[in-house]
Amino acid sequence: MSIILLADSNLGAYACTLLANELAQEHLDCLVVTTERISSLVSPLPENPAGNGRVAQLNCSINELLLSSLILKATAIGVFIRASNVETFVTNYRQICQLNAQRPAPVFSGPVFPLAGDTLIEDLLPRMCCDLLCLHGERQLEEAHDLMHRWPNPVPTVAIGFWFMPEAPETGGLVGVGKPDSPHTLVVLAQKGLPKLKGAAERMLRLLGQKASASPHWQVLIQTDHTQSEKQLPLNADQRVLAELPTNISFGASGNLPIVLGRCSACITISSPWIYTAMAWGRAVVVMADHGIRTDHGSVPFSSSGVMHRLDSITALDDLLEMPIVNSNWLEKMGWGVHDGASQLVKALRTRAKPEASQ
Amino acid sequence: MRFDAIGVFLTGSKLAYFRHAVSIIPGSYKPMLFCGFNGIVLSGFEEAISWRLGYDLICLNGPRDASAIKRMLADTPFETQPFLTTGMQRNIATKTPLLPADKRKKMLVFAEQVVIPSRQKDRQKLVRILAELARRSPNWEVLIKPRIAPNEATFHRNDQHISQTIQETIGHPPTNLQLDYRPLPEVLQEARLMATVSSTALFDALDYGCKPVVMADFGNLPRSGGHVFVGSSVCHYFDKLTDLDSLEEQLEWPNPYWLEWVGYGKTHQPAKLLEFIQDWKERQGSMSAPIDLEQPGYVVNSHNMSFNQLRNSAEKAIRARQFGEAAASLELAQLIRPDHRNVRRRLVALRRNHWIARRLGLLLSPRFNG
Repeated sequence: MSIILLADSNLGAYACTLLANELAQEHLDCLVVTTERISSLVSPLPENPAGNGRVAQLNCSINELLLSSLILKATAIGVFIRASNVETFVTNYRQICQLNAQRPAPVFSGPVFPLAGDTLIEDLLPRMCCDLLCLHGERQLEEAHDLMHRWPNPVPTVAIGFWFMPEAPETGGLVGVGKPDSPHTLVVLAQKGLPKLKGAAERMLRLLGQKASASPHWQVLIQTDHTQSEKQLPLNADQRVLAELPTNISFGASGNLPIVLGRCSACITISSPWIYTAMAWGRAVVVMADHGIRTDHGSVPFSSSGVMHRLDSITALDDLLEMPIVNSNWLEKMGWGVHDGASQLVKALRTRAKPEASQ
Repeated sequence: MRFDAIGVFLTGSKLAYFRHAVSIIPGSYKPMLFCGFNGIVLSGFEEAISWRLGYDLICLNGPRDASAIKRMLADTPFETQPFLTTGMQRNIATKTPLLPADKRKKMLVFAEQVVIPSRQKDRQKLVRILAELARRSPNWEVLIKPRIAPNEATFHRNDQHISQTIQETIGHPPTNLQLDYRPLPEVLQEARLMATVSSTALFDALDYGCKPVVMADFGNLPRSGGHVFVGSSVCHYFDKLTDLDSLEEQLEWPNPYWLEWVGYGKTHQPAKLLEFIQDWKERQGSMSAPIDLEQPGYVVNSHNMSFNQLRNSAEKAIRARQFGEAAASLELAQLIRPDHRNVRRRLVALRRNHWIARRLGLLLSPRFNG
């Protein structure tokens, strides 16, 4: 079996590379095709993991891939591009196969990051043209099954866990297992356009500034989330508020999230999916509860996480280390409970696979 | 008058505030509070539940909603939140027998929705498709039942009334396409077909023996609500229909298993609610305490997240001289309603460093009395 994994974003490309490495362990050859270069995201993983399959990378546009002979040789194609572009890609691919009198390979797709509720449904619906939906955990499987209840042609699903992130940091990359030692770093995962309410970003920064001033032995790193380019400021806040921030608050460069998360003491976000990595790696985490459960803030999946707190309820940053830990049942259902994702995917693909292309 | 139970069918934050207001009524007797949904839920279910948690009972439509609430509350301190599926049969059976299809007029009534589709160009497309279908079916009457009269409003906002959209899009509609402002039940009792994009009126049509059809032309994306109806087996692309005669010929009744799933049918009935209330009355002395919404690590909208609840919390904190906490609550309230003058004045007073200035500011700014 040879699989093409297609991504159109930096983080998608990173996730596809991780998945390709996992699939190589299952004796499969993988070609990761990216429309973005993945160099800006530093991976803590070894370059060539030991495996029996081969992994190659190709940087080209979606149309270049469709017009190349490679596409006809694939025995399965994973499409991890923006949901709204999936249908066009799949239609074009199937037409190309038809013109070449060839049976199309099964196409699988799904959101790169774990979603839930309306956001998951919105992401899945444009992917219904695929042969297999890749989800993260039990929760998403249930939601997808409920969504497709009594549909004339429901799309098969498979849960493949948190494939977007390394299962563990590099050896020695996880600082302070249990209770990390001082000096501490708090990573604030900032997201584009959040919080949405007018003045809320300034309030968040002001509160962070107060906490940082009261805890000089902490370094607060406001880290750009995947949704932004490197050139943008992580938070769209008033310049005056930014100017008043204490010196132990800094803005981190994007692209090295897994490393930063492995080394931080605590992590705060509104709804960044990278918080799952911090949770899975045992970091102290807080999901900001200041604005309640809001679909437009992406906070719906976290309502059961057990780590939602109002920023003003945190007196000192040291409190973060004593916060209740994440609801592990919830985390497992969101995808952390699936540890054989690649083999589950291979099993699901084998039942739909087309015969190997002749050499 | 002493009520045994009160059903609260308001929007999110008002729901939470009502429950809070009842909880602080002096005296030991409290009526049972229940809430529910005003129709099929197309989106925002989890957020809506977060505003409803803490009610003595949440009424849901059917197994589809029950599955979602169980998933949401699993492994949380709110797992014991009582809920019931009370169905979507909203109309009491009429005394006069329903007319069979062949005795009904060749009439299709389209149940308009205020914000679905929401984009004006889609609403124009909707009008064009219905007009074309009416032109192709001269032996049928196509009635558009507006959701609201001109100048009326619902909690959904739309800039243009459907009558204006018709005028702007097609000028003179075909003679067999008309707006009809009569109550929907009246029209449903004489029409053969009822069409909708995603309105709960589909279930009203079933109550009155009118065959429903879902207009699939706006896709199955959440913004049209179409995804909820895919399993109904009555979705059709109207722009592809030859005419209404052919539609009537091929149209089935909705899939009964799907109807059961969304809550329409004999299994899910309001009678269950009455049983629950009766049971509540009988067991009131021994009822378990309502679920505690104050849980470290968990946030629910119905607990201190509505505008008025935040103002109440602030006043409580001011009385306890916890000025920092009071300011925090008012800051959040100000994010919800940035232009609220009294909140701003109270917050300015709280931020005064000197105690005399703060006290004076608090005395001069209007206190919130809930």
